[in-house]
Parts: sequence; structure tokens; C-alpha cells
Amino acid sequence: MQLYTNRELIRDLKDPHRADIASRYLMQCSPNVFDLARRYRLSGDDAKDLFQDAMLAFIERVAGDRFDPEGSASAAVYLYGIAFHLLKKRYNRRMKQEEWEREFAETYLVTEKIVQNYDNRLTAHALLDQLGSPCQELLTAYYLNDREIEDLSKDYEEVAIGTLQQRIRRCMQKLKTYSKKWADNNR
Amino acid sequence: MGRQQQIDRYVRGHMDSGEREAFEQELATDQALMQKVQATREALLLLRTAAVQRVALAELEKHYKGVPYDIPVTPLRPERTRRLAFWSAAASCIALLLYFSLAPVHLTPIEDDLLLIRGTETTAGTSSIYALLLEGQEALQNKNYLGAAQRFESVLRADDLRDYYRQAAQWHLVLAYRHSGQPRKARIVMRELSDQDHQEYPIDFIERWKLYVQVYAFGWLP
Repeated sequence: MQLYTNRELIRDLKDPHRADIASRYLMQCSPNVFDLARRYRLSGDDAKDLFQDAMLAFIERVAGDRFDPEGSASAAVYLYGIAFHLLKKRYNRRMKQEEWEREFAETYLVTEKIVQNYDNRLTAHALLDQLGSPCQELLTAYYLNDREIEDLSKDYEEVAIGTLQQRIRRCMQKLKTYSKKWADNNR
Repeated sequence: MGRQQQIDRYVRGHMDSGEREAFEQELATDQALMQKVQATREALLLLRTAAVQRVALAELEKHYKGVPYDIPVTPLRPERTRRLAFWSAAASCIALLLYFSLAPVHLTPIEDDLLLIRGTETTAGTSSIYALLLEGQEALQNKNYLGAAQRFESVLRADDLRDYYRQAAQWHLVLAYRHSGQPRKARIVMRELSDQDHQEYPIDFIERWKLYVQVYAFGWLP
């Protein structure tokens, strides 16, 4: 595995412009997660999903400053731990589901909904998808790519600056409601 | 300039130092403004995290596509796992048995106490018994097992020997018998020892088991 200190990894995982290298670094941990998945008899696709979810969860923990770079666990170990907990949760849930399916078909429908909610709450990007792509693009360009409003106005077929500012404000309001939800979920 | 625009400029780092300082002073006093800035920061954190996640997902997809990626998810066969567990357990048992049967037994050295016989002071008789005990111990160390056995047998013939010394002599005698090729005698003394309720002479648990295994299971070994 290439050399990458925890601090460098955290720095890059907080910056969308550098996240590609950091993600590739994290991918080197995938064989361990696949081994784990194999032990739990997961299919190849499920193993890939597990690694993906573990990686996304790791990124969220880094964003929330919950991964301590000076802590005892390396990024690889931390990621493996997340994958293990996800796997255990899913395994237990599947067992419960199967049990309920056998015994109470009606209850199963309710639990399925709960399970879906649980899955939806996991990732920031899934939450942000609900914002709609025009808003996402606008906010990304303005806040993350640091584009000036005048430049953006040209990109948006000469929309008046005032109108664009209005749009950004509305999108930001929506984003704030999602971020509140996200913060509540991660608390 | 509107409040929101000011906040935007602040969170995007577009304020010059003077403007930023003034704004931060205002932030320190205005709770409502602080909350707005905080909410904007949290929203941007979500935006940034989602962007990072998208990059990671794109990289992951490339990674899965680029490499002919087929994860070998061949489940471990249960019978193979059972067999593995069985052989591991068997190997551990054999290793333990080998250790117990071949490792040398170390008995606790006999205490230097001349009150061998209960309630009496040292006399010429008791000191000669004590000397025999020490000689036996020394003979054992020098691998003179027959000589050691003779000395311990003599010690055990003494009347009213304190339990500590009797048991010490018995354990040493077992060891001497075991090494001098007299497993039957060793087993008899061992039985006498196990009949006793209270063990005065301390013997380590592992050493005791070594002796049991060596006398009962592998008495025929040299």
C-alpha cells in the first residue's frame, strides 16, 4: 500500500478536487473487505456493495471529524471496522426479516419500510440527490468550484445576476433542510 | 450588501482581513447571525461530502470496470471447515501431550527447615533424615535416579515425618522411579499422594500434570 498519512488522507477526503487519489488509496483496502464478505458468504455483487457503503460511510466520518488521525486505528483498519459493523447489522437485519416474513407477513411490510429508511439515511450523496441536479450544479459551481456569479450568469445563458442569486438562495435554503436531516441522522 | 451575501463571502473566504475581523466581531455578539453562519457551514459540509462521495463512487466504478474484477466469493465448504477444526484440535492435543510427556519436571526445592519431625527439636536422627532428603534431591539433579530412589525410600520409613517433608519425598520419589524405569512403583506412590486431602508441599499445576502423563501414559519412555 502506498504511503499516505492519516492527516493527508483526511485533507484529501474533505476536498472534492483531490478526493480521487484518496479514493484510489482507500480502494487498496478492498481485498480485506472482500475476504470478510466471503466469510459471511456474500455474493460478489453484495461484497462490492459492502465495500462501497463502507467507503461512503468512512468519507462521512472523515467529514464529521470522527476519524482521529492520531488514534490507534489506521484508515485501513477503520474502514474494515465500518465494513464489519455494516455487515453485522445487515446480517442481523436479514435474519430478523426472514423470521418476521415467516411469522408475520404484515409486520414485514412495515419493517421493509424501516429498512429502506435506514439505507437512505446513510449517505450524503443519496440525500443530496433529492435536491435535484440544477440546484446541485449551481451550488457546486458557486460554493465548491468558487465560480463568480458573473461567470455563472454567462454559463446560464445570460440569466440576470439577481435572478441567479435568488436561485442560489432558494437552493441553499433547501440544502439547509437536508443538512439538518443529515446532521440529525449522523448524531 | 445583503446579510446572506455577506455570509456567503465569509464562508467562501472572499473577505479581506479587515472585513473578516469586523464580521467575526459581529458574529461573537450576534447569536442569530452565528446560527445562520453555522447552518450555511453545515449545508456546505453536506455539499462537499456528497461531492467527495460522488468522486469516490466514480473512481470505484472505474476500478471495478478497469480490472477484470471477479471477486472469488467461493463460500468455505462447511465440511472443509469442520475438518480443519478437527485437525487443528487434534494437532493441539498432540502438541500438548508431547509437551507433557517430554518436558522435564521441575519440583520445588525442599525448604531449609530442620524441624522434620513434628513438635521436636533437631536431633541427630532428624538431621540425618534431612541430610538423606537433600542427598536424594542432589542425586536426582545428578541423574543418579536409583540412588535418589533409595534415599527417598529411607526418608519415608521415618515415623511421624511432617507432611511437608513426607510429600516432598514422595513427589521426588515418583520422579526418581519414573526415570529409573519403575513406573509401577511410581504409580503406587502417586496414588498415595492423590489420596491425601491436604497438600503441604507446593507443586505447580503444570508440573503435576507432566508427572501424571509421564507416569501413567508414558511410563515406558526412558
